Order: sequence, then C-alpha cells, then structure tokens
Amino acid sequence: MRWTRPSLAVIAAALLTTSCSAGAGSTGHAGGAASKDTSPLTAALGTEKDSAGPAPAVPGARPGGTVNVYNSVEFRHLDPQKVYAGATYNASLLWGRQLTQYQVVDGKAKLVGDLATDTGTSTDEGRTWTYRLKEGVAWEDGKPITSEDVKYGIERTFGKGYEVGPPYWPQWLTGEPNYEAARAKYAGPQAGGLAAIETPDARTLVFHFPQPQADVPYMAAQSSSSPVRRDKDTGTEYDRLPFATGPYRIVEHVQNTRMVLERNPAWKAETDPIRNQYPDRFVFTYGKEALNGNQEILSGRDGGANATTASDELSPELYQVTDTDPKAGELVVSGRRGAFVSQLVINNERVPDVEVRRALNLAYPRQQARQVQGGSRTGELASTLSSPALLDWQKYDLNPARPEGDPEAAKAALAKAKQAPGTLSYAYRNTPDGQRVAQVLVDGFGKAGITVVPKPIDPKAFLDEVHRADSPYDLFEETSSVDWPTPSTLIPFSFDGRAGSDINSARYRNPEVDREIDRINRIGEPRAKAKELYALEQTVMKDLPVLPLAYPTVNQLRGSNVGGAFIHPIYGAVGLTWLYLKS
Amino acid sequence: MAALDTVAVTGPVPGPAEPSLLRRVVHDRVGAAALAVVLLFLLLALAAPLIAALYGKNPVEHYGQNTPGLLSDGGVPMLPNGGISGEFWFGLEPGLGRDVLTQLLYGIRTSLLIAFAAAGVTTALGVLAGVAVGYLGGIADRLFGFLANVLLAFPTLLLLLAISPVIQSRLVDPNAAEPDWMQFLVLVLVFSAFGWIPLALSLRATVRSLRERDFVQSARAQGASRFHVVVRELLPNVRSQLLVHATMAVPAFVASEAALSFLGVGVTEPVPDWGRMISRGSEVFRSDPTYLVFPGVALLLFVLAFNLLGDAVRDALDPRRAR
Repeated sequence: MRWTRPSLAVIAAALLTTSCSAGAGSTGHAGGAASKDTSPLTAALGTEKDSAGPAPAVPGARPGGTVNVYNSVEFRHLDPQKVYAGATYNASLLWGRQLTQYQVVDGKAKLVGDLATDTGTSTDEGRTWTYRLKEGVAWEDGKPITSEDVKYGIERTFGKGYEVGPPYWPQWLTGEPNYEAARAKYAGPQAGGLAAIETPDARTLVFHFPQPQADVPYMAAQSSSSPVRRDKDTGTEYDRLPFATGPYRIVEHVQNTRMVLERNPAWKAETDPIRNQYPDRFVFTYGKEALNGNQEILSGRDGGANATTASDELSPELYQVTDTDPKAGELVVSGRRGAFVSQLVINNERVPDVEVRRALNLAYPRQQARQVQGGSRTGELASTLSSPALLDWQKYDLNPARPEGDPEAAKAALAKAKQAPGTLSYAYRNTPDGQRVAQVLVDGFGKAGITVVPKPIDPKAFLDEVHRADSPYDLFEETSSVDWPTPSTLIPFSFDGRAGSDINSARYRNPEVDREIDRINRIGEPRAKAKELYALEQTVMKDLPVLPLAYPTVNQLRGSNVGGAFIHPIYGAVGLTWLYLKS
Repeated sequence: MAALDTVAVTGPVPGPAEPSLLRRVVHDRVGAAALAVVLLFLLLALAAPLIAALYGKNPVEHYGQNTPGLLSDGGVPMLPNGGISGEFWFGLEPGLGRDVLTQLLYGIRTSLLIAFAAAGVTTALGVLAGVAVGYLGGIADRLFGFLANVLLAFPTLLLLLAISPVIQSRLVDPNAAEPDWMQFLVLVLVFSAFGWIPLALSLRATVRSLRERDFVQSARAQGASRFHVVVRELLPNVRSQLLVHATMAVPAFVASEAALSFLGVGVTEPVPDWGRMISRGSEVFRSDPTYLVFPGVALLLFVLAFNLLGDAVRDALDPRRAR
C-alpha cells in the first residue's frame, strides 16, 4: 500500500499585456532555487528524555495573531482513523496527538514519544510492544487521555468505512496478510474489545502481535494511532469535527469552505515535545484557486501576509516572479516532498529482458523530462528506489547513466539484448505537462533507436489503466511514497512478486527476493531490518525493474509576516505547528 | 447570409462583357489586401518544407534541449523576447525548445488542411441536400427539417470531447500511436457532420422560391428531366451563395480547430498546431509572453483576411451593389 499522487496539473491563465519579456538568462541565476544536495533526513528514534516536553522553542517566535491557511481543496478526511495523506497528517498535528510523533529541529526529524513517554519498548523479539502515556495529557474538555481511548481509536481502524485508512494495525494485530481477512477476525469496536491490545491500567498499553513487528514506533505516529473517546465518537460526523487533543481545537468547520481553530486551553506545553502554540487562531479557507491564493500571499493583501497554503504549491505561472523579484523569492519555502520518489516504471512482464531495461536506463533523458516540468526546482534526479528521507538511507548508483541520456551507450547495451524491442508504449496522463514529457521520451529514446509510442490517458483513469493486471502499456511514470520513513513498506510491497499489479506495478517477480522479504519481515528491530532491506533494494536494482527519475521537491509560499516556515521533512508540506507571526 | 435572387443568364450576354469575379474582388481595396494575405498564407503552407530547408530548422527537433545554453534549467529561453536570435528568428518554444518559425509554418498546413477539407465536404453536402430538398419539397422537406433540427441541437464540442478518448482506446491498437490521418479524419468528419446544415437550410429556401419562377417552370413544361432542372437551371443560380459560404466557412473551421486543440482534443503532438501553441503560450505567458504573440497574431491575421475576403466576394457577387 502506498500513496500515489498525480503529477502537477498546470492551470492555464491567459492575460494579455503588452510587456516585453526578459529572457531567463537575465535573472542571474537560471531556474531559481535548486533543491539542496542529497542529504539523508534520518528519522531516528528519540529517547525518553527527547520525548519530554516542551517542544524546542522556535527562535524569534512570538505569540499572538491569526494565521491564514489557503488551499484550493479541503482535506478529504479529518477523522484520525480515516486520514491517509501527508498534507492531512501535517495539518492534523494542530489538533490531534498520537502515541509517537516527529520532532523537527533544523529540518531534521526525530521520532519521539508524543502521548507516550517514549517510542515504545519491545520484548519477545518485537512481538510485544508496551507504551506508557504521559501524565497531564488531556482532551479539550480537560479529561485525561487514557490507554482505553488509544485502544478504542485503534479498534476503530477495523470498523466498516475505515478501509480508506492504512491497513497496518488490523493486519499486524491479527497476523493476517490482508485487510479483509483481518476484519473477518475482528470487526471493530461494535464487536467488543480487541484482545490483542491490553490496558492493564489507565496509562499503560500492551500490544501483542502474532509476528514480530519492527515498525510499531513509526506506525504509532500515523494518524490512525490517535486516541478517540468512546462518548465523543460521533461516527461520520467525527470526520467533520474531531475532538481535540493538540494545542488547537476546531471551533468551526464548514466543509469545503472554512475551518477555524482556536487555542486549546486543556493542552499543556510541558507534555508535548513537538508542537508549539504561538498564534491565537488558525483560519483555513478552502476553494480558492491555487494561483489566486498564491498571488494574495505574494502581494500581502487581504491577509496574504499572514498566510500560507496547506498543500497548494507555487503555481508555475509565478516562477518568473519569484525568480526575478528577490522579495518574492524569499517567500518560497522549498523542501523534499516527504519520502516520495518519481520513477519511470517498466512493465517487466512485457519487457522481460534486463538488457533492454539497461538500454532504456542509459537512454532515459531524465534532465530534459525534468526541464519541461519546471527544472531542478521540481526535484533532484534520483538513482535509488528509496527516498533520502528514509532511516539510515545511503546514496548508491548501481546503473550510472548520464542525466541527458546517452544514445550511443544505449545502442551498445541494446546490441547485447536477446531481441531488440519492437515498439514500446508509454502511457501518460493527458495533461499539457504529460504531453511534453511524452515528446521528450519519444525523442530521447528515439535517438537510441528505441521507438516509443505515446498513449495519452484520461488523468482520472490513469492509475486504474496502468495498474490493472492486463494493462497493455510498457512504460509509465509514477510518483509514490512509503508509508513511514523506513524502507519496510517499499521492497516488501512494491517488488514482492506475489503482490498484485496494483501494488507491484512493475510486475517484478524474483523468487529470491520474495524469500528474502519473508526472512526480513521476521526481524523485530527497526535499524537492523532497514539495513537488510537496503541490501535487498540493491539486489532488486541490479534487475532495473524501474528507472528512478527524481526525489520531488515541494515549493510553497508563506506570507511576509509568517515566521518559522519550513517543509516538514516527513509530511512534505509547510509545518503548521511551528509557525508564528512576526508582528 | 443573404439569399440571392439572381437569374440565370442563358445564352450569350449582349453588351459589354461582365468583369470576372476575381477582377471585381481585386477592385475593392480591402478585398485585394485580404486576397493577398490569404494567398501569402497558402504559399507559405505549400512552401513550408522548402522554407524550412533554406532556414535550416525543422518543427520537431528539440533544439533548446539538445543544445545547452538555449533554455534555462526550468525550460525558459535564455535570450530576451522568447529567445529570438539570428539563429531562431521567432524564438524557441519554452520547455521543449522547438523552433517557433517552422512550427508556425507547418501549423498553417494543419489548419488549412482541416479547414479546406471540412469546407469542401460541408459545401458539397449542403448543396446536395439543400437543392434536392428545396426542389422536391413534400415529405423529403419535412424529414430534412427534422434532421436539421436534431443536428443543430447537437453539442458538437461535447461530442468531440467525449469521443476522442473512445476513438483512442477502441480503434487504436494499444501499442500503436493514433495515426495522424485518423486525427485529421475525425476532426473533418465531425466538423462536416454538423457544418453543412446552415448552408443546406439557406439553399433550401432559395431553391424553393426559384422553382416557382418562370424559367424553371418553362424548362419543366418543355419536358426537362429533374436532373436537368437541378443541374442546369437551379445550381447556376446558387453558385454565388456557395462561394460566399465556402470562403466564410474556412476561417470558421480554422478558429474551431484551434479552439479544440486549445482544449486538448484537437491534433496531438508532435503535429504542429496553432491552437496548441496558443494554449502553451497562455501557460507560460508570465515568463515568456513573446511565445503567445506569434501564433496569436498569425491566427488573427489569417482569420481576419479570410473573413474580409469572404465579405469582398459577397459584395462582388451582390447585384444590388453598384459597381
């Protein structure tokens, strides 16, 4: 299971003026802010001391004021057990707390205990995990958060209607490999208490897993691990108005229009090692076109100076403004889009010859493909399947290729193939950007003597079309992410030969890799497991089932009066709980 | 479109010879200028490969991407004014870095091919249906009226938006690109299927009044066949109407084709197309406004010239107008 997102759709806006255009050469720096060098953003596990509050203060921050958050679309879900998207995880930190969470200092994330006193202790080789809740953690009405509330929240993930959330708690707690089988064993809180979670007292939780689970501390940071109080569970209404545990509470929420957060008086800073509470209020405004919201932020009018966006990115139409006007350029907040990696996926069933895939890798005009989408500001060229955002990540490049493509080398590689491919079909989302990338690939691969046939597909149907088992396409681009910053949900899902084509979209089948996955899944210690998985990733990459393209970068805007803005290294959007207003 | 009631001139005309249509159009200054522009566009379209060869560029090569230093990291031309230089006279396309001048030249061919084909088919269909129905009357007339109403009510744009993915997925092999001729054919067919109605309606009205006139009645009284009446008596009298329709239809189809490409259902990459250029121009307008200027001005000039020419033709054929 992974997050996949469509590539940025460019919205056309035609306004006629009579201005002459300056060339990009006159801006001094070509292409604007390039992403920083590859640096591992290790989300290491913090100690009990790290988990104690209060959060490290943001330098120069002052309390007070109202921060505006603009976004073109509303979050799909607010019910913590239904949330399954980085931008919502990010925003929900304002009102929701989990067992563990990422403390971010200087752009580096560290996993620490949030409601829990630490990131969890495991015994029995990772089959039993114990958490103790902090003292003084409370609901917005002042009542203490108990282990029973956390248990109830996790029980909800088994319930009907909650399959939109991540499937991991049900799978792990029942030991079933798939979600439906897990739900057949336990059907949610209506079916009584779940025996696999013990609550010996009001502050202690003991998880019992049939198999060793190394990633429990990371899963405990997911929104699904938020407590829900049984008497406040309003069912579907909870998706609109969840009951707050964080520094803010939701006082008004008109869906797709507006949401107002005010300070939560029951939240105590000394219990929280992650969040701050500088502004008095947050006002979310939905439905504003991304370009309009961005222009307001740049101009500073109508509250734009105090605003940022939840997930809307800097519109390509404004690149020239932020590149040429230093004042506007300062307002761009850039950072890695969490653990996302974009890649050219090869259907390994249709292109089974590794030499052909090697030739494709050598001819792949990565730099040109990135150039037509906005250049280096949109991401850093990749050579790995895993993202630099992962635990203990290390750069490697088993199949070095020139970024602009090397047709001669590709021809030489192709000569070694058992049979040269006839034509290869490339499926793409039928958007202006998609069409341009398709032209780049047709041109680039064509120079190496590989005929690529571009096949435009309706953007809404794209994932279904390329993921279905009998999909007739050889190549397509995909941008996806692991569920948390360890490699545990990468190879064991996307390159497991037994997984369906909706998850293993490259249709990569290697029995040796499958056996390794089974062996590594029994390791109960996160770092040891990660190390083995990186070794396995290199085994997979020797077969080149997919061609990594880029580690995407997020570019958002913040108003000139907004301080403390950075892209959350795990969730890939401007971190809201660190913001303050300068005046 | 004004219904004309010129009467067929049978036999040699006494007195001074009528000036030819061409001479009458050229006599009008605006008409002469419009005709010159139209001819220029036609010439450019025909000579596009020759001009491109002399100029040394082609419309499909990604110059900006293949030669470092022409485009920025983000794909914007490095030189001011869209990268206009001695090498690239009209600049470079942002992103892919293709040559704008050759794109424009080959774009004329795309536009004209579709517009002329559609105008030809609609005119032929319109004449056939309009004259036949107008002359026959009765049940044929009523059936035609119903059909015309249905077709006029059809949302052409929605139909095109809806069928283009269907054609892609049903008629084209998944491992083959949609052939260029199929894209052209679909556009021409859809334009034709709905474009012939207005002409047929106006011809029907004209023919209805013509068939009661003395010269037609006398031809019938003399035992002329229906075919003879239609071809020899009626058609010459609607000739001017046809000419005006055809000249006005071409620019309308050019504009419609550009609009469809703008919306993404017209001719696809890499066939050069003005509508797609304008669409791209509007995307990059803030960083490279020059790119929008060339296809925008070219389309404006082209449609304007054709419209003015159509007006001139109509005026030249109008007997009420003093010459």
